[in-house]
Amino acid sequence: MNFALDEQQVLLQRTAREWFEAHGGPAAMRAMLDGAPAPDIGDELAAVGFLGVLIDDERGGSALEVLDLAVVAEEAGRTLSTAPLVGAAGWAASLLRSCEGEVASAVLRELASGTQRIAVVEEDGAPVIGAHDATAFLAVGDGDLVVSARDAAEITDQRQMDPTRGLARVRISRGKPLGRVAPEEVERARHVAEVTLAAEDLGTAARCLEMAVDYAKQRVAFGRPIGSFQAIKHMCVDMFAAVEQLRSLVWYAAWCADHDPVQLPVSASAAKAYSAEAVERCASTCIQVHGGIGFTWEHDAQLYWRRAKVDRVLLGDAARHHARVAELALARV
Amino acid sequence: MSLLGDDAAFGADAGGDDRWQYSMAMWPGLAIAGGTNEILRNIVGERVLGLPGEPRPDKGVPAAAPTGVRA
Repeated sequence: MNFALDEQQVLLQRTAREWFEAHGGPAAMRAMLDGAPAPDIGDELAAVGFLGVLIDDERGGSALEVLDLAVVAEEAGRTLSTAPLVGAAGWAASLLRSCEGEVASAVLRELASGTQRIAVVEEDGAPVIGAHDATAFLAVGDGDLVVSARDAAEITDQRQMDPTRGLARVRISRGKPLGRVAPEEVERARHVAEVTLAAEDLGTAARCLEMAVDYAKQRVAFGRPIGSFQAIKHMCVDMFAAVEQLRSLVWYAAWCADHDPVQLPVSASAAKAYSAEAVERCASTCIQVHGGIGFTWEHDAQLYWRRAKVDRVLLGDAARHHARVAELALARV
Repeated sequence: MSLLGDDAAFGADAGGDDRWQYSMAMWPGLAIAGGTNEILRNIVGERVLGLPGEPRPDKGVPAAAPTGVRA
């Protein structure tokens, strides 16, 4: 099996890299930490098609696969973008797609066109990704998919460590039922969200590696670039190994979402478990390689560290997903 | 090996099965063969990431005449 990206995906990757570098970047998170609102990229994001990757042509999407969404998400993660790929393009789109009915179809169209910004609320009260900007919330109750307008939801804010995630606790008191949704579809949609998050973290970790390597080549101490010292070089190589292992896990899980549903639960949990640890290690090592400058407010390293510290716990931390991998693996023995 | 309990103190279990003991002794050698982790990290660091090498005063000097003992 060949796990390289095809020509179209390489093109998508290039387009996404240029787009995300031109729309926000880490400077947007820095501005938000200083009190600025989230950058207004919703319309342009819909226009470039990244919200509708998983949505069919008739409803304004590009009918691509989860692997394509993962390619876009990696590029978003490199720039710490506020784009709601995990909650809207991945999770909400997958839930809506699995629900038949006119209203669900209409909501899907609004998601793709950017007229509605949709976040997903889980029953357990976990922080909702993208809650700050959401115009509507999706939830599953008693086998029904329910949509709730923002003003019908109870939103509790807390201080943000990474404001680009727009986290809040949300409780939905009333909503409009969109129709039945099968439990396995609810589970699949969550796995798509986990894979999308792991893909963003792949980009975040890869960018940390890049920043560290660039600095190690440039910064001179004791008459030599610090990257020539094994103490620094080996740290960079360990980041590289983590990034490449994470890339394999993410691409495989993303591929499973469309081609091997039986392997999706274990591969999605493996990707999310590893991403939680890899992105955290890469973000911390990036600061370490930069030394004193890496520990300053002015350097971007702290922004990547914030993203890593938040993402590692979203949608289940490494311990939870490792336990899930063990459970699924042992069930086969 | 921890799962073997007291048998981990012997070279083989009561039935003569030494697979785990043998593996414990053998695998570290395999990890060294083909390049230690440290050497491979140097290679990846320099060849893949493009980081500069360590100073190598013996580079280009014949092995028979290492630095400092040249006639």
